Amino acid sequence: MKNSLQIILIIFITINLSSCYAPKYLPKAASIYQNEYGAFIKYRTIDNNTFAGEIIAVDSSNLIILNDYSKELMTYPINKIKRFRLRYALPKHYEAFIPIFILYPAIHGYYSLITMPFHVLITTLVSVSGENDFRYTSRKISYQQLRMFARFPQGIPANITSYDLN
Amino acid sequence: MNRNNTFYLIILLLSVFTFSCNEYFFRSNYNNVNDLVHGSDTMLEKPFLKAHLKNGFVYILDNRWEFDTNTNSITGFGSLYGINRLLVSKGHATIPINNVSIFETNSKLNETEVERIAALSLLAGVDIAVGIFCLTNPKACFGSCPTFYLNKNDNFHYADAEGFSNAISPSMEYGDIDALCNTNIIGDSFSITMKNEALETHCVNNVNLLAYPTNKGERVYQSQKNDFYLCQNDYQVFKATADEGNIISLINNNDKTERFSHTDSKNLSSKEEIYIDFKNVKDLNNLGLIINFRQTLLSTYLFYSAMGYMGNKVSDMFAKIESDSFLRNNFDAAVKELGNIEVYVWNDMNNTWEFNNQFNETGPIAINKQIVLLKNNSNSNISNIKVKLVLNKGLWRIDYLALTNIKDKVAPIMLNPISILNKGKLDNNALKSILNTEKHLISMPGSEYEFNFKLPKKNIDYELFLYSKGYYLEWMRQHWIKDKNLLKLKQMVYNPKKYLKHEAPNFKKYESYMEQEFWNSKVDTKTFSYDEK
Repeated sequence: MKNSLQIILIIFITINLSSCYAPKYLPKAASIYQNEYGAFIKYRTIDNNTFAGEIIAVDSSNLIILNDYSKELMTYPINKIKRFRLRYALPKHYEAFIPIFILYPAIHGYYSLITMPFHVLITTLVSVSGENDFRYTSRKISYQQLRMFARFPQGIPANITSYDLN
Repeated sequence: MNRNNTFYLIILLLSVFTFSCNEYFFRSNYNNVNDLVHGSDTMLEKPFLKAHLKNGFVYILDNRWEFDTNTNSITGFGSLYGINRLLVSKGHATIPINNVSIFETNSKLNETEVERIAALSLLAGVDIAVGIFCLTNPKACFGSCPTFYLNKNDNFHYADAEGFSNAISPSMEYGDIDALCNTNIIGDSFSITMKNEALETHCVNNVNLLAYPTNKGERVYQSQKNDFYLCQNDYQVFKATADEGNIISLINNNDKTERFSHTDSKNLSSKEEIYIDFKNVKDLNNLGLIINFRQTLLSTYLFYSAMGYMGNKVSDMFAKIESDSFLRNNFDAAVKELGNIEVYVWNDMNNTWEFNNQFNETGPIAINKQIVLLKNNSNSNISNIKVKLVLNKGLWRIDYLALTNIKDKVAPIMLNPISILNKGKLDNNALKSILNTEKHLISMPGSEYEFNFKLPKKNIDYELFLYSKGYYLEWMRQHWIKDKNLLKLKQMVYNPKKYLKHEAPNFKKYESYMEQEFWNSKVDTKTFSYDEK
């Protein structure tokens, strides 16, 4: 029983670690083609600060985001960003199935010894995979490619000031 | 965490990190209309278009957009959003190219959930199949009686003992002894964990440890009559044959690689024979046959069938069993009909097989380790002993056979537990119940009790046995009620021979699968034998 609890705990930690906050302005995957906002980005700076928000624009030296927490425009030098993680659509959540799928093998009697680990494996895999979908990390895409996910891929138009955006 | 769990955890984490990230390529940017037209032409499906205007507004057009070379504009249907992406207008739009700063195309993300849905569907498919199997054949999926473990993290595949398997009602309560062998004991402490791993209520009256100190080369074995014999000299099997041929590799080691057969498809009570030869037996006096054995799932099947036949009358029936001694003695007539394992020894003088003894023990989980006393053959002076076992086909799994010389009949000391832990916490009430013969310790599904004993002396090699006394109450399952068939039950009790013939085809339907799947969940180095057909 203690081991089962350890495993369930590890599963939830694994899922939790693999998942991240997904703001409401992100589209569902099915309507990605008609999303008017920029993607969500979370980045860690070389001095170990973390910022998150909608990508407004990316130029050759700066990343500009609309901070999700302060609701203010933030400009940060690219060369001071250690790594980033981008999410362009809402993830599918499968965690709700975990208790059902883990408890279900109880009706398998003896065979639950075989079916239970598969349930744990597959439901965790599916949940983590769902959480990890629609994401890119700094290892996968360059800042040039990151521009495509900005609200203004062309850069912030000259007529717009930081006070105009929200 | 034990090795099995670690294994699964590693597989889990590897799988997660290997398969968890899909990449989709659905978006492109174009700085001018020529690139846009040429770029989108190569796509299999016309993409949706976003036209980012120089003033920061954005048009999002569906895939009906077109480039009008005459007016140098893009036309289509969609929506216009302001700089804060509030909707400005919707409908038909004409966008002069000069107003556009950058074009962006987006394709639909199709079938993003296919892999996950496939995985869950596969899982659901397996669940349904196993679920149906278990619902229709509950006898194959659920266990019985309390199981005991030297290592509390083991599961029922590695049970070291199972208690009072035949005691299915209060009046059938009895004490059961199982050999725990000469387990390595450090110091004078010994613990064993009792689990309830089935849908049953276990009422445990006693749990005691029987211990007898041994010297090097000595072993103590328990007989069918629960007598104990101090033995020495083990004679290994020289030759062993059954219907399928040479079986020596299956029975010459105490390794859980067992010899078993399948039932007869026409009669569940058909018999078979096993022939065993021993050579160079130095001392022909006081021989005993050591046998490590247990049952297949046939007896479990028959028991659950009986429960099913009772249907909604189960409580009435059990009340009758309590008060009617005939019914109580014949409730398991079908299992009794399957018989004991009979032991014959070849008599050279008469050239005949001479019946010596017989033995039996119910339960498919823990392996029984017992001795069968052989008659002294004073007329024989040859050192070769031939033994024949006659047993019911498909009922027995035999792990080990050997001969030994009995030195003496001995009486082990009986020890009470000094403490009981209930899921790791000291449970004095449980201890009181076990020590008081008038009371029962009630163990419900999922319960785990660790019994701690103190041995008389430290660092002595004790041969240990577990004594457990009690009874259990099988929980009726909803899906068994539909199996109600009192005529079949009657046949089972009053005409078991006929019943075992009629039931043979039903049992054969899943015998192979049931045994293989049941024992196939082997892990690590602990191995079990199963039929590989």
